[in-house]
Amino acid sequence: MLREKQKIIHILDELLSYALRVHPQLVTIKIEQREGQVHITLTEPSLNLSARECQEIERLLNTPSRNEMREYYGGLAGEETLDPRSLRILGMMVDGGHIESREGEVSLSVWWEAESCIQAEAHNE
Amino acid sequence: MLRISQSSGLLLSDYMAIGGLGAAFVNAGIVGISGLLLAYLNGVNLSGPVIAGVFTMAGFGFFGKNWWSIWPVILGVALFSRVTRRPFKSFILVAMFGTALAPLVTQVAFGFGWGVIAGSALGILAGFLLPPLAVYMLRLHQGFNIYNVGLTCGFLGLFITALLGGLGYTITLPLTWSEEYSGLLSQFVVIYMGAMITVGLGLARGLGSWRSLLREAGTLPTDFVALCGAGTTLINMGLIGLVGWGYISLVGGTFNGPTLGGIFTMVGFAAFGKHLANVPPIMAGVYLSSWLFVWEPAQPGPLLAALFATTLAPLSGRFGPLLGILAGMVHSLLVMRTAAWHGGLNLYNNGFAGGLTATLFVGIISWWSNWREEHQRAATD
Repeated sequence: MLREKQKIIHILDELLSYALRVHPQLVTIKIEQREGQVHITLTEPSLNLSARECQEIERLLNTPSRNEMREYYGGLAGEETLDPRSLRILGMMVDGGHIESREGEVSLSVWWEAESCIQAEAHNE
Repeated sequence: MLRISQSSGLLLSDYMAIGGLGAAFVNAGIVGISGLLLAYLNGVNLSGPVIAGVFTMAGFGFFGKNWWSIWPVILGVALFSRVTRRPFKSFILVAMFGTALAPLVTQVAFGFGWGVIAGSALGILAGFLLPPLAVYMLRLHQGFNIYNVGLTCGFLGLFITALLGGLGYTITLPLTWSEEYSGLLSQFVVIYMGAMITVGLGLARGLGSWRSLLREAGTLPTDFVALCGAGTTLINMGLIGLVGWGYISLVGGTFNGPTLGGIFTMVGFAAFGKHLANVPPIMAGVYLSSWLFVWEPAQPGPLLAALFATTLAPLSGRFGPLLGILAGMVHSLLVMRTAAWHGGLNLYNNGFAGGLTATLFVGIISWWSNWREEHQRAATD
């Protein structure tokens, strides 16, 4: 139900909501399309996350994605959420995610198959 | 079965009173298996939301959905998926829950006498409109109303009822409520839930996942099967069913088609957000409201409100039991009015009222938490 542009906006909203919870000084976002996939990377140089927190985020970002869930409940991503576990929704919407924390700089990336490829698959079915 | 098939299905049509105990069970079984088959044929795994969908369909197979009236709505959703060139399984949850509008099909076909084709056509049209609306409605309450399609169907029902009224067709809400099988059904519920708990205990490995399940707020989407495993989920489902059974027994209520439907829906959603920590405060709120207001807890409306109001369980899970009690009280006030708004065409009347209640609470809490955050930041600076 979410078109590619909407999906990117929702995911960006979700990532930003997460990053802005700690009032960062600088947030850098990169969106790119390569090899049939959309990649979004968010970098935040002053976020201190423990190894355990990173592990939990990595787990949430790699929530098993199911078609019936992602299309419908993906609509909740990016809302001004009152639920601290909202990264689970983000994880559901993407094919994979990764978080790296080095010397206080956190880099969080997510990726998923681009819309054009999904539509081609559906058409072939 | 023929009487059930030709009944309007509007709220509140107890199929046990209309077609008898056996026919109601056969109908509920067919409706539930239809949901299961739909998932299976589309290659969708039996996850928390799918279990919730199947149990909700079966539960409402006791009052409102029949073996054929669910299909036009499902076809409408399938048509939407065809037009938007998306796989049907992307919309399968909306299709399953969207069968809440089955009474639109039967009321138009038999209640107004327009015939099966006209009823089915309207059902297909309603089903076609559901997917985009359901996603939009989620944002209103941010996932704090578990029966989101109930809000969607209620919203759509407002327009359909207005259209029908404009054409000169008004709907009078029926009230069929059987009492003769109450004792037998009470025993059935206990045995059924006991079996679920027993199987769950056999499958679950320790109580660790049980404790983590109770820590979940239950906001959409919280899939207990994925998070805690099938065994723990089954135990949770059985226990939540017993909570529903206990409430009906305590207030001296009746076990019949609608209340059995309420218990089945609670049980289904115990795989998808409801648990022993977030459900009781909501039910307590509905019960306490009967002290303040003019109704008795064992009357049909308040009794069903207590079972179905648990759609607001995430409010209690996230913001605590006191807010849960308050939400239950506000919900019970609203739900007594809303069935008339959509003419009983939307079977998930509590999902509709719950969505409105959750939107009210979430709107205020959201403003409050933002204001407090800014206030604290200003104080720190």
